[in-house]
Amino acid sequence: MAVSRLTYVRRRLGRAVLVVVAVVVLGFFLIRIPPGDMVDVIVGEAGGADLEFVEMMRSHFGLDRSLWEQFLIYIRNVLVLDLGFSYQQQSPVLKIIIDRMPITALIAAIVMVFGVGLGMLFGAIAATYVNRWPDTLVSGFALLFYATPNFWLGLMLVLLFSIYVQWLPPFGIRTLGMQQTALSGAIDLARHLVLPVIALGTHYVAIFARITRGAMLEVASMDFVKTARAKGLSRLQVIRRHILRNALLPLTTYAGLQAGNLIGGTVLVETVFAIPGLGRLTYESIVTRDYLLLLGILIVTSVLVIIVNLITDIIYTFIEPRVELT
Amino acid sequence: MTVPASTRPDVPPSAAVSAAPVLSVRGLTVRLPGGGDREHAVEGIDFDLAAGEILCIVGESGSGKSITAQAIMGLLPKKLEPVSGEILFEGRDLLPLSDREMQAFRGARIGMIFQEPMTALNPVLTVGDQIAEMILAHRRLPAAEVRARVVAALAAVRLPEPETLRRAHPHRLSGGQRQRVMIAMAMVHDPAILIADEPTTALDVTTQAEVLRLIRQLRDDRKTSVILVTHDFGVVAEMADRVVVMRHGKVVETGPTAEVLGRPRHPYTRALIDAVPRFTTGAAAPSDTAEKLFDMRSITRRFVRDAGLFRKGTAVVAVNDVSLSLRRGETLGIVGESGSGKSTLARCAIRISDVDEGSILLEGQDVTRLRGRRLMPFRRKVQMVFQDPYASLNPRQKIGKILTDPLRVQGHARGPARERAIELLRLVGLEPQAMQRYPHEFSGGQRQRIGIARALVVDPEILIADEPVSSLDVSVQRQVLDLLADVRRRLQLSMIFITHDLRVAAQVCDRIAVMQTGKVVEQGPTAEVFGNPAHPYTRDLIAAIPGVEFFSETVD
Amino acid sequence: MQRDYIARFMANPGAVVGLIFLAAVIAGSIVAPMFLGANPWEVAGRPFIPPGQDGFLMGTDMLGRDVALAVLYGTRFSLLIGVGSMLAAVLIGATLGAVAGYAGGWVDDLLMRITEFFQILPSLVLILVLVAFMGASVYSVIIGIGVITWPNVARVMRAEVMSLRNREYVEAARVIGQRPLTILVVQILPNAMPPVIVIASLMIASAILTESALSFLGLGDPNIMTWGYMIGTSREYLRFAWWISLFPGLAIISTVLAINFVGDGLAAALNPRMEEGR
Repeated sequence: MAVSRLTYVRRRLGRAVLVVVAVVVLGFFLIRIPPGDMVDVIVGEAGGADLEFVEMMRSHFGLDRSLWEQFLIYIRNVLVLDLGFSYQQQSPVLKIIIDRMPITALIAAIVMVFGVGLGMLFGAIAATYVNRWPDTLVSGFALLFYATPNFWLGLMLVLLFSIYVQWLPPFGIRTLGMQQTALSGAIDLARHLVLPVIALGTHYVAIFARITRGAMLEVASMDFVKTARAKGLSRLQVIRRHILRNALLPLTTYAGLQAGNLIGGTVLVETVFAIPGLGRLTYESIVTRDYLLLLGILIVTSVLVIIVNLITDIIYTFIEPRVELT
Repeated sequence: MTVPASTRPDVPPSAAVSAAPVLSVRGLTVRLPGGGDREHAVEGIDFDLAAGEILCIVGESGSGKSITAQAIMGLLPKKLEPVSGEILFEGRDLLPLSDREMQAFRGARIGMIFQEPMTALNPVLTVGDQIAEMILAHRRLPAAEVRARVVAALAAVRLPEPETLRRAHPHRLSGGQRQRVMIAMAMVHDPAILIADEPTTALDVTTQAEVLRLIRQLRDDRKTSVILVTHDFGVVAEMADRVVVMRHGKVVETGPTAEVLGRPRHPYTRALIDAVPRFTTGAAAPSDTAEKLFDMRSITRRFVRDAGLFRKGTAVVAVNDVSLSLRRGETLGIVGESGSGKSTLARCAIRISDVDEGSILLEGQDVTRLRGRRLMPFRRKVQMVFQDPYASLNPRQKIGKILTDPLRVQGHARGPARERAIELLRLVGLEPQAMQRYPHEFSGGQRQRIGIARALVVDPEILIADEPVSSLDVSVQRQVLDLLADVRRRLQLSMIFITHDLRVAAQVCDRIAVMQTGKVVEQGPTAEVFGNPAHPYTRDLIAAIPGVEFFSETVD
Repeated sequence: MQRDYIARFMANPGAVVGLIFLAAVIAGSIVAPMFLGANPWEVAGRPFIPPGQDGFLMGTDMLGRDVALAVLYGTRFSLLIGVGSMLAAVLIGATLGAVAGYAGGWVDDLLMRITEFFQILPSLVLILVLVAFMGASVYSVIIGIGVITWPNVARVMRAEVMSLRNREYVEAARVIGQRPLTILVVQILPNAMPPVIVIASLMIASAILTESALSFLGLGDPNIMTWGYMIGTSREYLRFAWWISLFPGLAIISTVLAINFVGDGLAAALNPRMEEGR
């Protein structure tokens, strides 16, 4: 039974909330995997924390109470958006994460836009000239970049463009000690982001090119494409209005699925380029064994991915008329 | 035995010959890529299309009829290259034209519609947008004018509420409606030629009749010349002024319909026409004294669609209070169109689908709720032959395994099972070596024989055949029907025969039940139901049989 | 039947090249220790010898270890972890996917919700959490990769089983009285395997990429020298000892490429279109 889009969104939202709850519950059990006293786990590499702090932790988490009570305390904390306190950073976990999010979000957004845009373009070229040299070229490079680890690519880019020819800065997001006006600041930021975006983005251009090519070839074999040609439309018109338009459907679904992947990629790239974002924070929290922070990152990034998926689903209902919106 | 009715008495026989032909195909030859069973897809094709005539190109699968049609439009797949010949239209040879040059003809001067209405329209665009696209492909017009023409085009093909319909997406329309949209779209520029490539093969018989009627009407009104590609001689008898018969890529015979049907010259044509099942009426009524072997009482079966973990779903009643019985030694036919519930009923009868209400009795014993081991005796006595020869045999199993499995499941030992399997292969006309082969090594007709052998290997008493010949070419159909009749007689089987083709049902069945949307609307001896139909739906079905006047047979 | 598959695979040049490459690499990684003896952790020369000098094809690293030897050794563990995690993922994913596809109804719904849940979690972050919490070792890496990749297998298997469940030859099996479990195993699964095999082979490649990322970040098993580890530890020497980072990266790329070619060859060889016959 078809329902209005609003009802559909409401239902999907409800489902999304359930998934977030499941992630949170998962977090509760994950933190208990590492061996040893929970307090040691939480305090991490800070070594001997002061007694006051340790006592505060014990009561805060209810570590001397039953597992069920600990669970309830945990849920209550999460509901008030208290994801814990990082002893090493001396700051609430959620605040740390939110402070570091903007730059990662910026990089992710740029990569997504370029990845999908260029990927679609190259994929369309490959599909249009299938089995001829443009296809071989595009498919060959797509395969090559799919197989290339993004952190290694980042290092090689640094080697080439920062060390060998010195055109672009090798790390950070700002040139130290530089006078910043709005415009020069923006340009400076852009120069710093070129290599990281390329390192992270080529993988996505590669996979979107392959997906677009595959989707277009599959659509091209469908009957309605024959009908379109029988109407006397030119090849370009057929590709644009019929093939590409229908290939968008699986592409949108796929793009949504890549969100989680993308976050993982930022961890690697930000580490290589020393970018003070969420990804690098993840690396730091591993090295310093700040497990509470790590868990908080998992929860927050999961929520972000769920939101992205929800948005993709909604976009999908606009472009696919056959969806029954149940 | 055959009493040919005159065909199309209202169209003067030589109306077409006087004017110059609209289309002339001369020596068309298209090459097949290497490795096929022959060198050319089509070879030396010659025919003319006169103004305002309906020309049918008829042949079985692989005859090259669709390729010929596609070649005229320049829509051959990349692998098939035209090698020689001419296609003369409006003073030009179309064959050597580039894709760009052909674009001016496609849609504007020559229109084409295809077989599968379900997939022939772009699912993400509205129907109106797609017709508008056709208009704008060849003409520059303001938006309001385009909209008006779209509505007019939809109205011309008798679609209801064209103003609203044009904003619908294809999936909201039925198959028949979509095909009408295709026709509307193809006719919007009043082309000189309409090419219809098996336009009704995927449609129900009543819908088929409507669409064919529509095509004929458009020809009458607008004097469009029509090339109708089909495999069904009934359609030829119904529609064609002239016929081109193709086989293995070559033209075998051409001529006016009356001649080709009444006095076929080529033996292949003769064989094809003979193979068309005749709509026989007047066969002997079976005796009512035989016992009821298989009894279905008040069967109801419902489906729930779109149910989920948190969702109720919608209920659909597929079979609605159906009562049928099969007497020993007879063949009961169940006829209906898609959605009639006949297949669901078959699956309930063979107990691979549960029954929501009602009961099934075999030789007086209630088998409705039996399961597992206790159902095994039933499974030995009642077996099934399926429709699709390509999907009814597991492609990864050898024929030997496919044929011995039914016996092994019943508990027989491997040795005797093999012997029995070989015995049945011989019965259906295949060699014992087949035991070692895989299904893909056999043709469609051969696979169907294997399917029949599989059903018979446990020595059943009742055979349920679900559209056993619907996916086969007409000549192969004939062979398989003959085999079934032979087997029936020899093994004294009782049969339930399910089909949408009334001609086949008339030939094969003693008694008929007609189903519509889950209910039986009429049942009785074949002679009565088909000779003197009581229910209006039955009458519609019979009237819709293409070429029924020609391919009828009255038996005394 | 098998002969057809092999013939079609051999007709694909990329696949054959990939297979030869992989075979050579595997053979090399087994044979090398027997001849060159030693282990890659051993100091073989001065530190930072550039490639091509003093008989070191790929130079030496910051402690004087032979880079070429290390790269060769890395092959074993990369493939071991790749195949191991693929097996783990296939075991879980194929079972759950087959059950979900065959049973349908609420069982399918429930299993699909679980599958979606695991797919939504950002995979690298999740595996970092898992490996960090479990302690870095070959086993935790294999389990971790298995946990993040099994949903892909489940999806593919479920889709195949669902489409095959309604085929007529499956109905025929029910008509002759075969039991449901027998039908699943004997009739459906053999026909469902091809796409699963293809995705499994591609998963080995992606597992190698994931593992290299983990060891780059320092979360690999500290006792084994993998390619990611080499890239990670040589980062600070990039400026003047670039070869320590370059060669392991090339090794990753070529191995992943080879596996992809083989996977594509498998996909073409096992193409089910052959069964359509028409």
